[in-house]
Parts: sequence; C-alpha cells; structure tokens
Amino acid sequence: MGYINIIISILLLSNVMAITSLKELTSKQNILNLRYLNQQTQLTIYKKTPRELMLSTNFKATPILKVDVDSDFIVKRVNEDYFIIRQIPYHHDLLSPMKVGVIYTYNMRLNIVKKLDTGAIPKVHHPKNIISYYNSSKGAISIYNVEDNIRVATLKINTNRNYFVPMISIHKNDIFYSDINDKGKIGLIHLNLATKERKILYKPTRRTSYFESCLMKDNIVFLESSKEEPFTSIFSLKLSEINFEKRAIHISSTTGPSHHLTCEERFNSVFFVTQFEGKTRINSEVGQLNLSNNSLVARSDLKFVTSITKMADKIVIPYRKYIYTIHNSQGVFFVGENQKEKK
Amino acid sequence: MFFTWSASSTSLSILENFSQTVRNFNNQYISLKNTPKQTIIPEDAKLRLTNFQLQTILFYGNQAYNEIYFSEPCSLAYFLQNDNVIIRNKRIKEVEVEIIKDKGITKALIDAKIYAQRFLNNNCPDFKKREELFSSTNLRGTLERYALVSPRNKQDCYAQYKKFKDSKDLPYLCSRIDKIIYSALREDYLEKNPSADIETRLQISNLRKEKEEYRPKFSDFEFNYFTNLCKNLGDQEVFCANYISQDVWGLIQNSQEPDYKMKYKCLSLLKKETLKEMDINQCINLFRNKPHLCYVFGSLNNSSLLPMPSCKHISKNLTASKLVADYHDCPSEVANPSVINFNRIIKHFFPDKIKISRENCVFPSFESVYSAYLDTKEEKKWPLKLCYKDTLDKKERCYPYVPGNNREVSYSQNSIVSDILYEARLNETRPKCNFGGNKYNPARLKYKTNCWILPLDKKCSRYDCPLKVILDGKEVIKVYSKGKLNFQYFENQYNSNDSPLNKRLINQFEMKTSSISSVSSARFFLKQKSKGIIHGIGCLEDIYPDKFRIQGATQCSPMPFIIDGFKKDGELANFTLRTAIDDLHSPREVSWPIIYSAVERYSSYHPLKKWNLYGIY
Repeated sequence: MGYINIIISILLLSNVMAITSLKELTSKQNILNLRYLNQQTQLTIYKKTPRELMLSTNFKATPILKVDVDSDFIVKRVNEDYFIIRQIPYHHDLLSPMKVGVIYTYNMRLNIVKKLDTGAIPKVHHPKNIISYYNSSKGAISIYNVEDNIRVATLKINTNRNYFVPMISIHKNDIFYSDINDKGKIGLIHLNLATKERKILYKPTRRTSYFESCLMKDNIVFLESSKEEPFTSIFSLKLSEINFEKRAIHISSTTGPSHHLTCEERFNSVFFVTQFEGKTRINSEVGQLNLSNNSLVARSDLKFVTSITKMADKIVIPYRKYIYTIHNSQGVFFVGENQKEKK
Repeated sequence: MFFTWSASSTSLSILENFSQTVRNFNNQYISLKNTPKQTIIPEDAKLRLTNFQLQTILFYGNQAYNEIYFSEPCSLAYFLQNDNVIIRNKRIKEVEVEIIKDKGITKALIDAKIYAQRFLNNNCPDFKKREELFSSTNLRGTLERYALVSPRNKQDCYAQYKKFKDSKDLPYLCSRIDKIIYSALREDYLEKNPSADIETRLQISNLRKEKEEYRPKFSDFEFNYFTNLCKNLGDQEVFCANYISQDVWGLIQNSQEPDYKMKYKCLSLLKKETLKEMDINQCINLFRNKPHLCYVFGSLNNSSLLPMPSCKHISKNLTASKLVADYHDCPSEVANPSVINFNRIIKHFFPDKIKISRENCVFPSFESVYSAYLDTKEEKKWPLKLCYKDTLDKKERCYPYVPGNNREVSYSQNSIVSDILYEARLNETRPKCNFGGNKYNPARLKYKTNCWILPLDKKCSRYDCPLKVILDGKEVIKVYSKGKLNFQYFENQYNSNDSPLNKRLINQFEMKTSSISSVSSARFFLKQKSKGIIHGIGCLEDIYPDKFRIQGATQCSPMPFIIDGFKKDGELANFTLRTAIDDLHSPREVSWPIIYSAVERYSSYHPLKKWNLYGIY
C-alpha cells in the first residue's frame, strides 16, 4: 500500500511539474519573499515578515517599512534614489481586488519612507520621477512627481462600472489612459498636460476590447485585445506626432486574449502573453514581437502562462510556485530561435 | 386517408384537387349549421357521427390528435366529452350524428357530450375503467410509475416518443393537459374582460377548479413534457428538437433546468420587477439572437466583473452548473468576496435559510455570516460598528450593525440608524428609516417626510460609505462605519480567536469537505456528490489574467471562488467557475491547469502554506 501511495505521489508530482526549457529565477533570499531584485548590484527588497519590508545589499540588511497589520507589499523602482511602495493591509483576510492600499515613496539614499496617499496599481513613467496610482473608491488616477513632491494631475475615471482597472502611460506632457462608459465599453484617451487638451484617441468597435500600453523609445505601443470576442492588435504611435490615423499596426489577429504587454528596448520588442497553436491544443505562451520586422516568436513552453513582468532586468513568468526567466543576462532566450540582440 | 391523388396526377392537378376539396369542405362545414338540432334522443336509438362530421374533425381539428383518434377508437368520444376538440379555434359543443332507430336514419346536431357519453358507455368499458388511473386521486401515482426522465440523446428521445405514442394512456394525458392550458387561457380572458356574463364566469370558475385539482399532480417537467408530446404527436422530430442540442433557455422552458437560471438575468436585462410569460419569451429571444447583450447586461445593479461571457457561453456554462441560486446578489456593493462566497455556499445547501430580495441585496449576504456569529453567541466578535458624534458631549458613539436594509431585525443598518436618531435625541421615537437609493428625489412628496439614509458621496455604493440621515426633509446627522470585515475564509493563522468561515461551514452547518488536488478528484467529486460543489482561493491574476494584471512577480490577489460543473473540451478539462466578484448567474468556463496554477501560486504565498481547494457537501 505504501508503494502504491509513493507511485501515485510521483505520478501526481510529475503531472504537476512542468517540463520546460526555461530557467528558474534564483536569489539568496526566498524568491517568493522578494519584492525587488537587481542581480547586478545584488540589491533586493524583500518581505521579512507580513509587517516588515527590508532592503538588502551585499553587506547588510536594513528595515525600510514596519506596519501595524499583516500586509503584502508591491515595490517598483522609480529612479536611482526612489522606490514606490504599495502596502496592501489585511492581504489574506480582506480579499477585495479593488481595495485601496497605502502608497509610500522610499528614498533609498536618505533611507526615508514617506506616506503619500491611498491607492493601488503604482506605475512608473517617463521621465522617471513621475508615478501614477489608481484609487477605485475615488475613481481617480493620481499622477505624482516624487522628486518635486507635487501632485501633477488627477484624472477622473467613470466608477459606474465596477472592477474596471484603467491603463495609463505617461511621456512628459502626454498622458494616455483608458476609461469606460456606462455601456461597459472602454476607450483610449489622450490628454496633453501643457495644453490641457483632452481627446478620445480611439473608440474600439468591439464591445469587449481592453487596452494595455508601454513606452518604447520615441513610440507608445498599444495592445488592444479581447477574450470574449477573440482578437489581438498591437499598434504604435510616434510620440512626436500623436495621430491615431498614422498609427503603425504591427499585428492584427483574431487570436485572443493577449495581455501583459511589456516593452523591452534592448530587444526592440514587445513581450506579451498570447495564444499559440500547439500540437493538440491552443497554448498560452509568452510572445516576442519584434517591432522592426513584426515577427512573432514564442518564448516560453509552459503551455498555460498567465502573466509576465519584469524583475532583475529580465522578463519573468510567475508560474505556480516558481518564477521563470525567459532569457539569460546576455539576452539569450531559452525557447525559440535567437536573433541578434539589438545594440 | 381522406385525400388521395393518383400517382399520375400532375402537380397542378393535385393542387386543383386539393383546393376543390377544401372548398367542398368549407361549403359543407357551413352547411353543418343548417342541420336540425335535436335535444331529446331516444334511449334505444343508436348514434353514429356522420362521415362529414368525422372528416371535419380530422380536417379542421388538431392534427396532432388525429394520431390518437386512429390508434384508439374511444379517444375521439373521450375528447368530445372533455371539450378538447377544436375546430377553427372553437371548441365544438355539438356534433352532427345519424340517429338510427327502428331501421330509420335521421341526421341531427346534438350535444357533443351526449353523443360521447353514449358512445363511451356502449363501446368502451375498458377505456372507461382505465380512466380511473387518471383521476385526481390516482394521477400522481400513475405519473410516478412512468419515472419520466429527460431524453439523453436522439435515440433515447425517439424511443420515449414511440413508447408514449403507442401507449393507451395518451388520450387521458393529452385531454387533461389540454384542459389545464384551456383553463389558463380562459382565466386570462376573464382578467381582460371583467364584465363577462355570468355563464362565462361560471364556466371559467369550473375550469379553474378542475385545473387547480389536476395541475399540482404534474411536476413542471412532466407538464411541459406531455404538453410538448401532445402538441407534436405525428412529428417526433419537432418533439425531440425540444430536448436535443438545446440551450439552457430551452431547457428552462421545458422545466429540465430550474427557472432561476434565467429569471434574474431576464429581470435585470428588461429592468422589470416581475416577469410575465411574454417577458420570458422576449428574454429567450434576446439571449439567442443578441448574445453580446450578456457582456454587460443581466447582473444586479452593475455590481459584478465585466465583461461577462456572451449569452451563448453563459447558456453552455449554466447547463453544466449545479449551484442552487434562486436569488441575485451584488458583489461590489457587498465589497467583500469572502462574504459573497460564504453566502453563495449557504444558499446552495440551505436555499430557504435567508431571504434575498433584489431591492435589498446587501443585507442578506452579510446576514448569512452574522447569523453564524449569532449561532455561536459570538456577536461581540462582529467587527462592524456604525458611529456618530454626539452634538452635546462631542463623544463618538458606536453600535454593532449588519450592512443593508431590513426592518425586521434590530441589527440591520437602517434599524441602527433609527436607534441612533433616538439615542441622539433627534427624534422622540425610533423612526422607520430606509435607504433612499438612486431613486431618492427630495422634490418628491414621498421623500419630504420620514427618515431616509443616503451616502454622503452619491457615487459611493459600498456598504461602508459615510452616510447622512434625512429626517422629515432635513439632514439631521452624519453616520459612519468603523471596523473591517477581515474574516479568514480558510485558516490563515493558528490560535486565532475567530473561526475561519470554512470552519463555520463544517462545524456549524455540519458540512463535510474533501481536499481536491487533481483534475480527476475534482471530476469525481462533482460527479459522485450530487449536491457537492468545490470552493477555493486562488490568485485572481491567474484566473483572469486578461482582466487583472500582476504588478510584480510575487503579487497574488487572493480571490475565493466556487466550481460547480465540469465540461470536457477536447483534451482540456474545463470547469464552470464563479469568483466572488462574478455575477451569480453568469458562470465562466476555466480550464483545470489555470485553476490549479491559481490555487498553487496562492498556496505558496499563504501564511500557513496551505492548499485551499476543497469539495464541500
């Protein structure tokens, strides 16, 4: 009986464990406690306890933030000195996805943490002292300059549609964001902070389209996709001439959904999770779209990828209890043919 | 057969023959009215329907019933006796007969019931005896003996159709069904014509009594099954089309699926308080022909995650779903997924435990949890309090409350506001307070008196919005919520002084659970436990990556969900799933690897590293 149990356990384990060519991301710390990692400088920010966030360098560990209640933390690097931190209180007990956390700025050089506001979805923009965060209960995206310590703008978002999370990308005075109307349709809006001119950049024809965006050199790249009406389109606009009619369409396909658009200048590519035809079924993998020749290559082999993000200057895939990287420090991909890296 | 045409006839001649026959019948049918009426029929006279009368019934009557008339000679008389024979939309009361007496034959129009009774008494003793099985006393038992089940496939459907078509029971069943439907139509007529004469009223009253006696003997499924069968005798394809490859809307119409699977979506879609049959047909039409409507419409108060699946996908998912949900909830207003999920589980196993109305969707979800605290006398652990600042001593005073509206209990939010008005000496008695909601309009007379509760910020719709209280048209006080409803759903910490909701389900509601860790165990559980459902917590960013993007490699937003059905789609095993932010009546289809990833990733961040996916029954 004992043998049977062992065999069943092994079978179950082999069923669960993915067979992949990707490499696991490793660090001195438990990888699951990491909230920021730079492998080159050996700088890490990690969750020591549910109430304490620590900074670790090669030589020492310093507490950054201590809070009163069990929490989770999201950390993003703003620039050389600054980090933005979102504390999510009662993370395991108060389960609402729209709950607003506490937004802090952390000046690493001065080791000062400052409570900024309440909100969620912190994002770093260009120039890199500009951050944004979203407060769903106020229905507002706040834009903040961390160095000058001033609120740059507040964008009101329609709150009649619950659980809507707007996308936002900022390049200097140009703000691109999405909003939703009462009929549940999402549109793209462009606001010029200097002229205060706000216009609808694009109203999709599909009822269920959503948008993501990222900045790539002198361009802004958009992903429009839908799960319900399967579709993916990736297009870009020149930041010097924001004209939707003159957009460059890189791909347009009835495959969908696609999501987690991530720009990576070193490869002149955008990475995103999309659907690839497998031998017997459609697999969800990381795709690399080279914007110079619009070629699309699968960069993972896990079959059921849900998310990608950047960590330690790498594109990583959080998958089950592992975090995989899709390429090494030299930019060599573990899956798919390797093209010459753009210098 | 009454219409025959030679094989050599051309199409034109066939049509000419046919139209001539129709003309002849029409003329003769009119001439029927010229036949002399006779009310007194000698006892020893024999009665026989004239050939023309027979042809008229077969030509103009319900074509489906011809099958019965041919298979069972007594059935026509039986149908005449029960007013089931319809010619040109009228139930015939008189028939043309030949009265045979002393070798003499006379034609006359007589009361159809007299003819029928004579015919049945003289020719159908066995038929009459069998009728006893369909009396009010025996009908239920007879129906139970059929052990009717929905046809599983085309062959099964054809077999069932043949079985009943050849059955001697069919005349009794179809006659009874027809009478019940007729009664409903007549009642509807009376409602629209309240000044109908006494004779009509009496007739409808008798029909109603008969309907009330017999209709409850049929289950909804049996009633729809036999209605469908009797209507489509002679066309098994049409009969079976109602059972094979059906969407959930058709299955609901057949009573093969419970009506709550459509009712609440339909109410929300049409923005109505109640549904008439016409509304249901309109909804079915919309769900079938405009599947995109379900992306946005159909949830209660727009309070769930958008877009929802298309109506077509919802139909598929609802067919596989077994969650009992004869109510509608509002996730974003409750703003606590643990409470929503817990209440959905309670309502699945104990549908009558807490009443939920569409106007008051917040209170019952919370009450499910609060009543669990009351049962164990732990109400002091309830974390929510409604507070105000006393104008005299400037002190803050707080009272425990359950969010939402309910006049019948002392702990509901509106009752506590009423207490506060009294305690703060703003009113001499405890006024009855109500939430104003979106319809609140201070200009309207209704709102100029009494006590109304409104959010300070009009846009705020969550339970914990700061509130202002309007008493007799004047704002008298502001109240606000304190405390957080941060329950453990599954156990997060040892030695906690508060039981996780999952433990309350097991200990207080005496439910059993079993861990689910593989696709086969999930399938086996859902198949083996007829009422069993699976609940768990996983990372929302893995369940719906297109709707919630991770903010960092180690981010995971825990979200409770319920799995209540299984579907095989090619190589992949798919399950019907509702997270606690999804519309209750719009389940989604999620593949097993995604569910597994979401649960496993959350378990690796869980404070106790626990696996959180359990079958519950």
